[in-house]
Amino acid sequence: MVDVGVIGLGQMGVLHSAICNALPNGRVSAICEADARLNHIMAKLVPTIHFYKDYVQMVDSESLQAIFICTPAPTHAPLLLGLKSRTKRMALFVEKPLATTAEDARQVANEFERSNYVTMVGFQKRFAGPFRKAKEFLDQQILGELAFFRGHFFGPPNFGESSIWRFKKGGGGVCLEFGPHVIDLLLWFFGDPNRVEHASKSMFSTEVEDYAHILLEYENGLVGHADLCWSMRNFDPGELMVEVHGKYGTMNVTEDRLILHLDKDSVLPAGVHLLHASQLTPQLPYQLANPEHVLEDVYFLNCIESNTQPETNFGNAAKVNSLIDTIVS
Amino acid sequence: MTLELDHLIVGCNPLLGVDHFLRERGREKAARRDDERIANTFRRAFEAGARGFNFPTSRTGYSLLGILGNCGYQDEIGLYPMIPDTQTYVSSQLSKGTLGMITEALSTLSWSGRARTVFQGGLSLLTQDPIHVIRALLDVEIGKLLSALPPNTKLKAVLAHEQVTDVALALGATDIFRVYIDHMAKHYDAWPGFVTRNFSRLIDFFKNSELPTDKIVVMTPFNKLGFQMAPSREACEQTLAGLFGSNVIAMSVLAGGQLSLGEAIEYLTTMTNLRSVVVGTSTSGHAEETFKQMSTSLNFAS
Repeated sequence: MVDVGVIGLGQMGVLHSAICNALPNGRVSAICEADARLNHIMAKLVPTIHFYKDYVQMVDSESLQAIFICTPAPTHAPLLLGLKSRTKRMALFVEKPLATTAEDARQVANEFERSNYVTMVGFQKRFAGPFRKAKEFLDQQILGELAFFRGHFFGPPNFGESSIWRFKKGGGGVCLEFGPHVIDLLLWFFGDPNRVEHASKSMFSTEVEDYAHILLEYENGLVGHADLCWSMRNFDPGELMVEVHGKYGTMNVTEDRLILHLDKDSVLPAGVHLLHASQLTPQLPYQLANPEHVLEDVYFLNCIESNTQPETNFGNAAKVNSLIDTIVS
Repeated sequence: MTLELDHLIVGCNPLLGVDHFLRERGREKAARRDDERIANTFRRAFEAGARGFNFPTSRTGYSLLGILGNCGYQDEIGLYPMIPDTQTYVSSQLSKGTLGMITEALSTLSWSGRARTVFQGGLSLLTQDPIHVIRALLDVEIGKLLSALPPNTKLKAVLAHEQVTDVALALGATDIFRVYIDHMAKHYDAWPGFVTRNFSRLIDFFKNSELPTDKIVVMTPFNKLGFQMAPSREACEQTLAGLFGSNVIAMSVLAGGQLSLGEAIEYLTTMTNLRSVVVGTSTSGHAEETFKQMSTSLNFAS
């Protein structure tokens, strides 16, 4: 049983608290939320969990084996470095992005590199069945030599100004909000690019970008592009799509399904194949939000119990921040 | 109060372009929205034996209610809305934070109505007692709902959205369930209900917390693929088999379109203790076929 603490009770904090508490090997013992009124409400509704206003007090008072950091992105790096300076060693999960700048992300990654902390960043799209299957197919070189790809992450909800950090300089913008998921998948699928070009546009936000276009080139000749936009009226719920074209076929993958067009027999026969997420998703111990959210937390708790380093550890996540910095700088 | 649960309920997702299986299919359906086609779908569904309508309390959900109110069958139809409108709440939470979301929702309370008798100290004091917060949020949501109901329609049950149910269940927040059930029974002429994808866990939780399972409606997936059924299809079936006198509505019976109507019916006929089925259809022909076959093939628990 892994005793979990959660910092931040926004949307993701509530979600991770609920999922971890529902998993057979998880138990949320403590939650830290800076807003005293929200703390007060939650403490009365959920008496089995201890609520704190200060994370240092929570860490010192509780015997936690893992902490989920679900606070605004600009607080991630300072919180992680603060937790590292405590004497207690815990597994750390932080919602994406690892930090708001490449420099901060590198500092965090370096700080944790030589420690044996289990660290993970919430790139949950990797846990969606179709994306995991796509990675498997790419590793099997099912499409042959890759030529080009295109991708997008489109969704609502930004159609106006807000005072919250997501829409402020220094931590907000679609590149830091949607970008980490797309870039993590592209790095996972294709490795590090050797050239990056970009363009961006603001329409609804005054301080940050609402749209970005990224063009990537790789040493092996692969080229591709991805579009990010959080102001798409016809994408609610949002959708992440990657389409890859190779010498022997095409693969188009979203959170919902994977479509393969194969010119010749491979691990699958030549022809068109449609694989739905439900065919590619294991039985879940608990159903809440999308399956990838549950599978991500299952994976993290299992990594803690087996003392293995997650795929999306701080070191790998810092590469995502490096690429984002290239786009937003 | 006894509940005359309608056996066959029209679901709204295909009408709204919501597709939990394939969102690109949903976008296409939403773009092709045709209110006359929706009205015909309602008529054919009700002619074929459907008697209830399940919908989200969103802007688009309410727009369907407007069409239903003019379809000629509204006097005979039971309504099963789901609260709250999660899209509005999520959007509000993303732009204003969790407490900002709560206070924004509470700020729409009508202080001239029931809310004044519930609490007279204002918004900031209201948040000091979470029980008041839950009651006030319920009053906000049901107030909006009641003002949108077409004349002569009958509100049968108000269902807490699965995102609310399954978060509260995971956290073991007994008071959220207790207050919801008590407040509905005391102030509104409709049954409290819960949508969940974790049916067996919800029922176990109710039993362990001494919450009544016979005074609520539960809407939960039942299909032979185990689609959206946690922790397993077998566990959910076993829980249902031991749950006499409850009001369980099966949803996701076509497993998001993975099962044919025949396959769905074949599976549902093996289920005991089901009181009702909700199923969405997007065309009048499909509605007629679905509800005709279901009304002749399915026997529901009384």
